[in-house]
Amino acid sequence: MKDLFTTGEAAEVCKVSQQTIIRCFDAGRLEGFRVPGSKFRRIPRQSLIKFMKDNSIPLDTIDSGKRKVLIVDDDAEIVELIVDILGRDGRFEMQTASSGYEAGIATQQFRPEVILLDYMLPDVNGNVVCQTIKRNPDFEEVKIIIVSGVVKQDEIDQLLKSGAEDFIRKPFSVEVLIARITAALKMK
Amino acid sequence: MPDKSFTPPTAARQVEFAIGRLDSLSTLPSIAAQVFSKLLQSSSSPLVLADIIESDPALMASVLSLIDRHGIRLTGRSFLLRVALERLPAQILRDALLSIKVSRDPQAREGVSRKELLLHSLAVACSAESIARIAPARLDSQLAYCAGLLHDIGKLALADAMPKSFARIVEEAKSGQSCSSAVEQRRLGTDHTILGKRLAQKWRFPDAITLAIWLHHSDTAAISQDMPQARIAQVVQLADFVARQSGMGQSGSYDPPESIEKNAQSLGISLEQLQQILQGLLTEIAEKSRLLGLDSADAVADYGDAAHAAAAQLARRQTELSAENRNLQTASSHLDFVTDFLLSINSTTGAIDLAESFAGRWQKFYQTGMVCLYLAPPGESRRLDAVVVESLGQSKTLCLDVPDQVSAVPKPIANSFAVLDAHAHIGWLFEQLDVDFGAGRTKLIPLISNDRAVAAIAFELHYPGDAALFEEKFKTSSSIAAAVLDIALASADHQCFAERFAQLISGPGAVRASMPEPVPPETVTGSSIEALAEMAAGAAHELNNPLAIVSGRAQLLAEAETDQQKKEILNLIRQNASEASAIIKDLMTFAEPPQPRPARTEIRQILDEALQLTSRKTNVEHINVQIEVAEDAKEVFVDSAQIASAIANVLTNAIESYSDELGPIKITAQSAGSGEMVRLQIMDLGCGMDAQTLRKAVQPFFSARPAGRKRGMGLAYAARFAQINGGALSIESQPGVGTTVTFHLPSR
Repeated sequence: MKDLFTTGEAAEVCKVSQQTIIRCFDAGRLEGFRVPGSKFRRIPRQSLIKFMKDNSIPLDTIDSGKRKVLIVDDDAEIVELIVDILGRDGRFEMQTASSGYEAGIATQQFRPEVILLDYMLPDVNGNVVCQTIKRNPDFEEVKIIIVSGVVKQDEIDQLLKSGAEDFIRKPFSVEVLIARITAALKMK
Repeated sequence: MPDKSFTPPTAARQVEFAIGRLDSLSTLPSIAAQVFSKLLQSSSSPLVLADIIESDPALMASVLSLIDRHGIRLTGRSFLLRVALERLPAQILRDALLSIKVSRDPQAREGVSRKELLLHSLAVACSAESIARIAPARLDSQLAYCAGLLHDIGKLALADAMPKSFARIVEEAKSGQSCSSAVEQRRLGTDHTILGKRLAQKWRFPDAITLAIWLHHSDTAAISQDMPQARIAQVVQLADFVARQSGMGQSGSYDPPESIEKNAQSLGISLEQLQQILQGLLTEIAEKSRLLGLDSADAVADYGDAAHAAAAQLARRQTELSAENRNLQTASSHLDFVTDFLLSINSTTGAIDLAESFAGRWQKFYQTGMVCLYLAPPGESRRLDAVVVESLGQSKTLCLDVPDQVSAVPKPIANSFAVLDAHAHIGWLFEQLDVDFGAGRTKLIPLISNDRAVAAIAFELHYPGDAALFEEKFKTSSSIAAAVLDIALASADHQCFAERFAQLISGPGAVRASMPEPVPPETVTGSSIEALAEMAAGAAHELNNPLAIVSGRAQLLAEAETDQQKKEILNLIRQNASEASAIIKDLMTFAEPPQPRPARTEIRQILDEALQLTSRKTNVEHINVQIEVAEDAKEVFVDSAQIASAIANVLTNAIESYSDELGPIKITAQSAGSGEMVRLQIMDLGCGMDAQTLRKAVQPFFSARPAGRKRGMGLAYAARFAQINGGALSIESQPGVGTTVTFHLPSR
């Protein structure tokens, strides 16, 4: 997580010009300090968040420190359920997709750390999604957990072979779901 | 009298202004009548009209101006009006002639009549032509004729623009026996030669003609000595003399004719020759008069009739043209419709998608209400595919039933096109739709391809009368859709055939042909199991999602719940969801068990494993079991885990058949079937089963115990595992006596 921002970075996060940030900094409305021995301004994370809150700037652009989870399922209620579960936990930032195609795009843009992937997607097989993501060197580190109603062991084996980290069968236990995600992310 | 107040210079300007505004001269009603009747007779060649044009100064002036405006040169080597006329576009000439003005006052009560003036002009024209022809100086006789005809256009213009003044001038000239030019000069400050010249210049007549118009009262003999262009004017002047001598027509000039000797001499014409011309003139003019219909008793009535006929014909043509135009327009919009439809599809579009695309466009193009297009069912089928387009252009496809004894496409339109009242023929179809088609205004037409209706389309018309109007178009558009549909249907057929053929040549059947398959054991219920497996796999996915939601939501609620009782209920919901999921898994495993991985394994080892499993399942630590394995039946060739699990299920049942769970169980293993099989028997002396229970014992989800406690999969699994490992399972039982379960397992 980023703790210290330059005025340029702060401007980008707040979606305002760098001049604005500098003016606010110099006026004392945005707290920070100058790097000793130079004139460079630095803004600690906490003061930037306070500044954003004071000025009603949405906080979604600032890295929240939450772990990014992409939930892929064509069943909107399943997606909603998992969003609720992870939302209640509070440690996760989530995005959702309802097809393999959307999942691909979301992976590029959102850059999740974990993907919860349904096996039976309307467009492409979960297997393919799994392989495609894993084959891309940019996403090598992304953990994929299959969440599916599939019961055939062969298919599960196949998925694990395609690079999936883990398999959770629907219906699942809320604790198990969170435990598997935190395990995949090596969270405490 | 207003004319008297004119002071010459002002008057001249006003006269010139009035004359300058004329864009054509008016003609006599009888001539207009002749022109109209010729126009009506034939539109093929302008030459039919040439005789008349050549005989009337007004027409001639218009046509000359027209010819010039169309860039056609008249004066080359010789003046050839007819050649120029032929080069003029027919419709341009026609329009010019149709718009010719007609003199309002042809029989002027005073002065000189139009007709007289015309006859004078004709006489001058004919004389000029004759003089030019015989003159030794090689003059263009056609040009001379034309100049003669037009020489007095100044007078015609005056008669048109200011008829009263003109009449008074003529009267004054007559009473004073003087030349009209002199009177004109006196009264108007200008005269007809100057006015005529202005018009000739404005209308861009050939120079020689302009000069003749201007100079025909001047000393042309003297002028033409210096200016050869004035020769024609000289001829016209001489011709004017001849004409006045002849007494034909009246120019409005009453001065005694000037001496012409000088003129004739200068042109090389003798007086005798002039005399001859004068004599011939009478017949020539009579001929022209006849041609122009000048002798008609009631020229105005003739003109009225001709104009009426022309107007009527034009109106008719107009109607025909606009009808044709409308036809062309609709035909082209029709083409748009078809093009639009054809562009919307491609070679892979399925029949029903084609139908949907077509039906939607049909509604839009013909602005109909709801549309239903249905495909004639193939073969003997009583079901058909249909598309319904509702009023908002929303379409849906559906499947409909054709009642028995009814043909989907009504007989009258099964092989030929016709527009039928839909409700009278396909009421059965409307009954199955959840939208109402308006009775009486819904039509039905077939989509005919190769003399067979491949589909039919029913549509609501906002104005039922339109049906007759559009019938031809309906026929064309429907036949195009029919052809496309026919091709799509045929293509689908071929596709289907190709796929089946491919299956036939590459499927397992093809292998079977050369390698006979072993006869399956009796317990196998192959196809039903496969169907079950497929169903279970589908159900697993379909059911596990809702179960996950039930379970997940119950968990979330339970987490947040502080009321202990409610919390328990929520946990119960969750447990049951898991149970339901487990049932699905069981079913799935039963239907499609994991592939066995057979290996040579000692029976003892399998039995030990089975006993351990049983202990765990039944919570019975020490099972009262006696095992006897024959020397020749020590090993089997099976998936040990699966068979151990199968045996464990049987053992569990055996233990549960005793009320205290401690009854004795005997297991024996012997060689069977000439050493290829091992017969493994598990015997208990428990409660046993009656015949009915026994029959259902190996069915999935059958349990003799009260429903809900166990899922009743034990024996079903056991039998299934035995079967997939190439063995079999059979049960003998008697109530109160005990049960013997026999496995036959392959030994190699």
